[in-house]
Amino acid sequence: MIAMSSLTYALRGEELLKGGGIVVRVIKLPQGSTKKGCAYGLVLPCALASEALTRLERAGIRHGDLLR
Amino acid sequence: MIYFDNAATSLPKPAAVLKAANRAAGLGNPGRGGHLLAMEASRLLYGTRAHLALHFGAPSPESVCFFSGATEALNRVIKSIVPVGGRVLLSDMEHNAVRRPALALKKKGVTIDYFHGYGTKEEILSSFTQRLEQRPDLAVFLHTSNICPQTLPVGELCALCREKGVLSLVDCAQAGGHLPLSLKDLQADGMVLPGHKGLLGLQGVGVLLCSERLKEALEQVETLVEGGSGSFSLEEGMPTLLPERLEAGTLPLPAIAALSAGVAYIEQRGYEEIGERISLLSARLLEGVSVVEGVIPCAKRAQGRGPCLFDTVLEDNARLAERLSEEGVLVREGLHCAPLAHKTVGSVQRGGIRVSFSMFNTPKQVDAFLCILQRELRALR
Repeated sequence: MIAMSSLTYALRGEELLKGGGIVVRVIKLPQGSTKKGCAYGLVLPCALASEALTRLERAGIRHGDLLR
Repeated sequence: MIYFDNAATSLPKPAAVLKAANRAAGLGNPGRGGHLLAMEASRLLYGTRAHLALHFGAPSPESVCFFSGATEALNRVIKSIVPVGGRVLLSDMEHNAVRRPALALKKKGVTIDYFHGYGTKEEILSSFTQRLEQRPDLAVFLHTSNICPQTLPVGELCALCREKGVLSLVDCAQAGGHLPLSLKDLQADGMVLPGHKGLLGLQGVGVLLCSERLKEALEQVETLVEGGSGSFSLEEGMPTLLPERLEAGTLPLPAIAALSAGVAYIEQRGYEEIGERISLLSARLLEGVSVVEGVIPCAKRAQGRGPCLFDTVLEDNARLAERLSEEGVLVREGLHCAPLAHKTVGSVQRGGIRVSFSMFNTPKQVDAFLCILQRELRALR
C-alpha cells in the first residue's frame, strides 16, 4: 500500500496508474497506518510498488510512505 | 413566462443537470470513510475536479476547489492572500462579492486601489498599468460586468500582473458558460465561477481554479475556516494541500454533480452557438429599447458583452419591474449588488432595469418583452 497525501492525490494516482496498466485501487487506510489519523492510500501488487512510486513522482502526485 | 434574470441565476436547468443532482443526492459523503457510497461520492467529486480542470485550463484536479458559492471563493482568496497592512487592486466595476471583502480588510490596514474598468480597452489598460505600479499583493477584477455589456481585457491585465509579479484573481461570474475561459490562456492566477449562472448548475456551489503559483500561496497561508476534512484528523490544523486545505466540512455534492453536468451540456451545445445566441438577443433588445418612449439607455460607453441596462422616465422602476412580473416577464431592477459599478457608469442614484439572457431565450421573447414594456410604461406614466 502507498499512503497518499490526500484523497484527491489518491484518486489522481489511481487514474494515472490504471491508465498505465497497473492494477490499483484507492482504499481508506487501516487506523494507525499513518501518525496523522485517517488517510487514503493505493493498494497494488507488491512487485509493482517501485514502478508505481516512480510514475507518481514523475507526475507530481504527492504520496506518503510505502506500507507493507 | 419570459425569464430575463439569468445574471442572477440561470433558468431553466437542463434535465441532465437535475438528473445528476438527484443521483448525487443518493450517494454518501465524499472523503468520509471508505464504504461503497462514500467512495462513489469521492469519485464523483474527483471526476468533477478533473472535468473542470480540463474545461477551464487549470493545471490539475487539485487546483480546483469548491466553496458555497463564488462569493465565498472570492472572500477566501482575497482574505488569505492580502496580508495585514497589504495592498489590493480592484476595478471600479466590481460586484459587492469583491468590493465588500476588500473593504473589510481596511480594518487590518489594507489599502485599496481602484483602476477604471469602464470604457475602451485602451482606457482600462492605461488606468490598470498606472495603478499596478503600487505593487499590490493581489489584483482582483471581473471578466464581464453584472450590470452592463462591459468586458475587461482580462488576458492583458493578467499578463501585466505576471510581468510585475502580482497575483491576479478574475471574477468570472458573468462570463462562465457564455464564452470559453482558460486559466492557462488568460495567464490568470485564479478564476472564480458560480455554479448556478451561466454554467447551468444549482445554487450552493462556487469554484476556484488556481494556477500553481496561487495554489502554493494558498497552501502556505493560514486557513480562515477549519473543520472536518476526512483525513489527517489527528492533526490540529487543516491538511496542508489543496483542495482539502480549503474545504472544511461536507461539500454540496448534488450541486457539484449538477455543475459538472451543466458544463457537459455546454460542451455539447458549443460556445459558438451560445455566444452567438446571446449576442443576437442583446443586439435585438438594445435596438428595440432605444425606440421605446420613456426608456433611457444606461452605460452607453460599455464595451463588450454582458447584461443590458436601462432606466425609465418613471419615478419608480420597482413598480415597473413588478408590473412586468405580473405580465410574466422577469427582470431585475435596482443596484444588482454592484453599487460601485452603478456609480462608475452613472446610475447609482436610480439604479436600473437589467435584462440578462441565457442560451434558452429566444428573439420572440425579446419582441414580446418590448411590446409589454411599451404597454406598461404607457400605463404607468
